[in-house]
Amino acid sequence: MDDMHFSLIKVAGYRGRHFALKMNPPGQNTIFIMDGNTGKTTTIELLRWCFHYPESQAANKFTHMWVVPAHVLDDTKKGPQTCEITVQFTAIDDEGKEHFYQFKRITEGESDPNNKPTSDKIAKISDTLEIDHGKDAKHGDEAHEYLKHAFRFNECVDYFCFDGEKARDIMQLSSNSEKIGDLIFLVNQRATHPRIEEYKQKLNGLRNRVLEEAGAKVSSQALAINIGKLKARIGDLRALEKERDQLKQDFTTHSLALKTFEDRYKELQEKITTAKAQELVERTKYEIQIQGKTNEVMEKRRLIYALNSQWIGTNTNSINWIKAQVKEKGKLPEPYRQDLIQNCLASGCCEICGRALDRASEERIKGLERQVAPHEVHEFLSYDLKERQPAFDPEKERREIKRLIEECNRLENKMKSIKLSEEDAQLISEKEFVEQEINTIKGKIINLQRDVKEREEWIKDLKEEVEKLQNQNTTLKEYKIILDKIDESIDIIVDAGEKIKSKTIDIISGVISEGVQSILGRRFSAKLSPTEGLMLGEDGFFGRERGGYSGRLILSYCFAEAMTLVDPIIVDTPSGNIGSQRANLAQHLVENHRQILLMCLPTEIADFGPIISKKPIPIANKEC
Amino acid sequence: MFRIKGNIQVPDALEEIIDSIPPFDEKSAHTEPLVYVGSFKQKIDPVLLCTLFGLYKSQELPPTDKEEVALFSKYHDFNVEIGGFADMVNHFLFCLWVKKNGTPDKCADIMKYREELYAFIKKLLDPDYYRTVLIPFYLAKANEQEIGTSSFIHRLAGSDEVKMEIAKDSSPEFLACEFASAQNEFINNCIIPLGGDQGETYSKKQ
Repeated sequence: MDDMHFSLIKVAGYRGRHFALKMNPPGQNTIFIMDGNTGKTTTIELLRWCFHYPESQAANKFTHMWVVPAHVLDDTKKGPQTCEITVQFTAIDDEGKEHFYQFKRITEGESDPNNKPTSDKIAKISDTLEIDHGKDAKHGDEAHEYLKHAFRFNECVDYFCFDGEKARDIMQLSSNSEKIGDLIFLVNQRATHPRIEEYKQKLNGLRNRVLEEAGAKVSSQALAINIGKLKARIGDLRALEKERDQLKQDFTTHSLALKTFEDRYKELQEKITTAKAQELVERTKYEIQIQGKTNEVMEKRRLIYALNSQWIGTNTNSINWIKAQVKEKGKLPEPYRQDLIQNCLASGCCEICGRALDRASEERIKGLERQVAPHEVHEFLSYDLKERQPAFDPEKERREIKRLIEECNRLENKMKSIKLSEEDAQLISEKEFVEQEINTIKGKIINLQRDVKEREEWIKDLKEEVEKLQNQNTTLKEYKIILDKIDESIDIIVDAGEKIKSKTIDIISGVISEGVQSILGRRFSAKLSPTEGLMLGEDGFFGRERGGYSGRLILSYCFAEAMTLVDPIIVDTPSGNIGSQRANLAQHLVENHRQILLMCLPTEIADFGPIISKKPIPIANKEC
Repeated sequence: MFRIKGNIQVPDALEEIIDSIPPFDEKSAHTEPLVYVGSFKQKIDPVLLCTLFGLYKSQELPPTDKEEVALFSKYHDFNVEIGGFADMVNHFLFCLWVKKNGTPDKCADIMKYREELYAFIKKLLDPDYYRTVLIPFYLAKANEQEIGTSSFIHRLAGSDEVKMEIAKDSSPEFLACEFASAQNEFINNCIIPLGGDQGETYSKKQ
């Protein structure tokens, strides 16, 4: 699909917003003048919510300015309510035919301040995608699937719907050397070529056909069974590899989500600890104390298992006394040389004096043999067990843990008796929610790690089995060259996928650098690399601190432009902190996009708006 | 040197515990284990602990007429030195054997007594016997459900679920106390009656 053009975004009821953003016709950009707190951010976030989450997964997934999850219904309205967002756009297919699309998400529910984690009590979410004015329609998750495949909105909505929040996220990723991995993960997601998987599947299909053909030529039943088995095993192997790759991807996604939640947790924790409200300060004080006690209990419990060898003790003296008694009362002989006895019996001569053994001597030696224990048995009986007393007193530890838990419960009761303001309570509730999420994700990560390891082992076993089956089957020999070539091609494709990723990073790096140069001037450039992340360059010197706030904001813009997969760009408060580069940024946007939709504050039009559109449209939040 | 090398049969719950312990060489990478059972230093540790608990609890001798016992369907592969542990267990088992077979002066046939004692000790000194018979035998004992609660091994596996609670019979502190109590009972039943409390006496004899 090409030449995409958004014509309408209409919001009715979500978070109390009511307005319609009607865009200028194709070939023209549009600027909407919207004052503070009139729905700019909500519009961007609603688009992200709609295009990220299918109908069945959308409940409690709306986020608003780092509040996760945030309410999406109108929290000022009592009783049942229905909210609606409509997005209309056109696009041209490969045959040059224009199509019209209308996406609509309707949410029914009620706002209840006592409901957690948000005040939303959502009864129903319904998605509809109407194509070509009613010629076709997709409902529910199918609507999302269609948009995902035809436009890849789910992959790039964060970038073509751009705002200060996203810019700050990118700035944080590019400024923090510890977050290079997260940034490159985003780029790799963008760089994954969907065709690669398709080619791999085709090659696997080809392999099946080769095996079928080989099977058809086989007259022996045993060989036919072998080929059938081989085919089944190869199928298992491919399925397992796919499963493993999916698990690996899930692992990376969860690790990333964990980092995001941990960052958010730190932020919330900081907000709470630096709060001025006396109640919150006191609550925080108790919370810190409780956390301290909890950590102490956990550490003690871990130590109990870590020191498990010290649980074991015994009455060493008694044992040694028993050993001595058994030796003494049983008159256990001192160790004999077993080899000497056996040699005597074997040779028929005394190994000490050399005389030949008569019958009586032989019988005596045989009797001796029955008394003989192997050397290590004698050794066991002869030494004293070393003193071993348990260095660990479990009763003492138990009493100490009990004391700490009781102390903790007392502090918790005190903490619960503190009445918090609504705002502070929300902060605490969010922190608890984030904490819970962190624990859940950590659990999932452990399971995923284990599952990946398990799959790797199965794959190894299956590969060995496949190879064995291939070698066993003589009929397959004539097809072996083809099968080997198929394997080789699959390896090449996988390798190519990795190379494409690396090349894409280079291309994205080049695009970002050109964007930066066109806005900030020839002295500036940018560099994106898997090892160093995203950096701004000035006179050929690159660094994470170069360019100041406005420079890095522009770097974020250019990163988003390079990452998006659709042409139109929808921006909330586009030039708020850009400073003297406003005109350059406007010029850059005009030159690089067929459609620009800006939601501007009345104060940010000067030196910027007229370059994009001569007729800004004022928008007010009005309930129809 | 007493090295366990090869597969050991383990109950399902114990396998879960073993899996959650990071390999010894990766321990440094895990600054803080996520769970309590992950704090065991080596994967073999909970196996040995449960083996010992099984011995304490059952106060039974392991079968010596078998090369292998089939008790569990899960296996875990080990290659680890357990010399110190085996030495102590062997002494416990020696005392238990003496308790069940008496001291030599009670035996009419001293030769037979010696033969049986030697054969028993010889078994105990064989790492393969430990791996295929002794450890699974006592693990099965530690895996037996107890009155009013689940088995020691199950509770050990469940100790990760314990929150800030006191009266929980699967908490690490409770299990350590239960282990200590079983240990004392074993010593009081199987060692002290044979040798008296030799804390003082035997030292003086020496």
